[in-house]
Amino acid sequence: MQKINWRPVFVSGESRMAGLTLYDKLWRNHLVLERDDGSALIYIDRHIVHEVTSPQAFEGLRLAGRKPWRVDSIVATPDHNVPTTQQERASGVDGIADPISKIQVQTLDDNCDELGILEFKINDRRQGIVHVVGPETGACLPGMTIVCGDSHTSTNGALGALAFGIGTSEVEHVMATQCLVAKK
Amino acid sequence: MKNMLVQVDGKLGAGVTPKDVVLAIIGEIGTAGGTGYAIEFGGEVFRNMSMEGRLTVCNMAIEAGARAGMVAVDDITLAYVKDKPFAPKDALWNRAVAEWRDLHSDADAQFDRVVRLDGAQIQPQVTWGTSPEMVLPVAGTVPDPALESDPVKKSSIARALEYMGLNAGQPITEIPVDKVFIGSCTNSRIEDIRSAAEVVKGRRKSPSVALAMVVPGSGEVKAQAEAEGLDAIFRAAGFEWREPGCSMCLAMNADRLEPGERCASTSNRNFEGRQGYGGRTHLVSPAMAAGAAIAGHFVDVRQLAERQ
Repeated sequence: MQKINWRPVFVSGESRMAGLTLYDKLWRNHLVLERDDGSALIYIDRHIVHEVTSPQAFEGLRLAGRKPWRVDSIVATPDHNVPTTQQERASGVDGIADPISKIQVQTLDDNCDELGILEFKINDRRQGIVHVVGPETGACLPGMTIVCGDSHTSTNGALGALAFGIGTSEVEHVMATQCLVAKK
Repeated sequence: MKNMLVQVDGKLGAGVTPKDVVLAIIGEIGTAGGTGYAIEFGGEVFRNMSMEGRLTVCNMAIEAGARAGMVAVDDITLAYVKDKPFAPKDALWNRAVAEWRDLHSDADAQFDRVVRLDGAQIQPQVTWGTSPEMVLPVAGTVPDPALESDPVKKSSIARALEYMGLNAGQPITEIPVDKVFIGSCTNSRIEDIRSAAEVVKGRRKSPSVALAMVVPGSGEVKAQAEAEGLDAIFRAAGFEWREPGCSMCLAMNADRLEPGERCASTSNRNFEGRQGYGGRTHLVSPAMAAGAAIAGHFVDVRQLAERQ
């Protein structure tokens, strides 16, 4: 957990501000920088990645000659495009009948292999839906900021974390800088 | 984001699940109710809820318009996290717990909006339309656009009924289903699978239901369910037991509805075409989805339990 530049809870040593909400605390604990217009940078602890919203982000990093800022903050697994019948799953990625689905899952594997990102691949016992895998592996923990290129990332807030979905360009930004531009 | 507290006190009735709670909340505040807010779910109902249930509720915070949903850390959180593969261990665990104990709203915290619901009043929910806020207790009847005075709401009800192939005034329990999907990031954890299996045990899928599928949320969930013999319960009842993935929640693989097909689904979005072009989605809890598979139409699972 990173604790950087949080706002003072006590003002002028006397009057205490109204108490903080859980959201206020999680925000405060991750605030890197805040501008006068309210735009801010927050530090991201955990970045969950699946095959649908990551290919352009990885490509963007590659084109800019960058590597992920903190590789061990990223956990990946394919979920949207994996077939669910035993027959189609038996031979892993090669067995995926739909050509587009196959490319997406293969691309995630390739990107993770190249960059050394932890990925639970198609027939790994830990593979699954990102928002199920994060909590059950302990990759997502209380107090974290958690992002994923998927709107249902809010799921992880159940742990007492600040978790939300981000767009593909933000996926690249978080990979590159470990920070997200946000507004409280 | 501003701060919103959704406070649900009281005790949930038997057969009322976290999915019913979050659907009832969305029914109350609407799909734009949480827009611009981070929602904290607080109160007796969430304090007593398992982590799996809290994950289900926060999953659908986004369907209430809120980008983030959260629940304060308590003993249930810590018991869930302890010994997870990537959780801190030993001395680091103790340090983490000391930090995490502060992850709750202060007693004098100010929320910009507070919504209160009585948990004891929440019934098993079924969506009837094409937005998660179009939801009713299972004993309800499909709304009549003629009775709605707001012209915008009137036309959205009429359009939803046309897309969904439903008639105004039709009882929810008389809506037949073609397919049943138990899975998705909302409801594919071990407790969800157990809850569906409990309803299915010793029964058979209705012959009028073309496909009932259970898609565990991960390989770990699948292995746990199999160790408990739950897969055998589903298979014996004529359900398909699948490999983990998003599956029929959003029709990005082969698991999808055909045009006009109607599905009892434990997922989170009932938008037009979400589960396949022309597909009709009714969002329900795992127990209610299992009940619909057995009866061939929506049924109050609490009554199904009494008949056993």
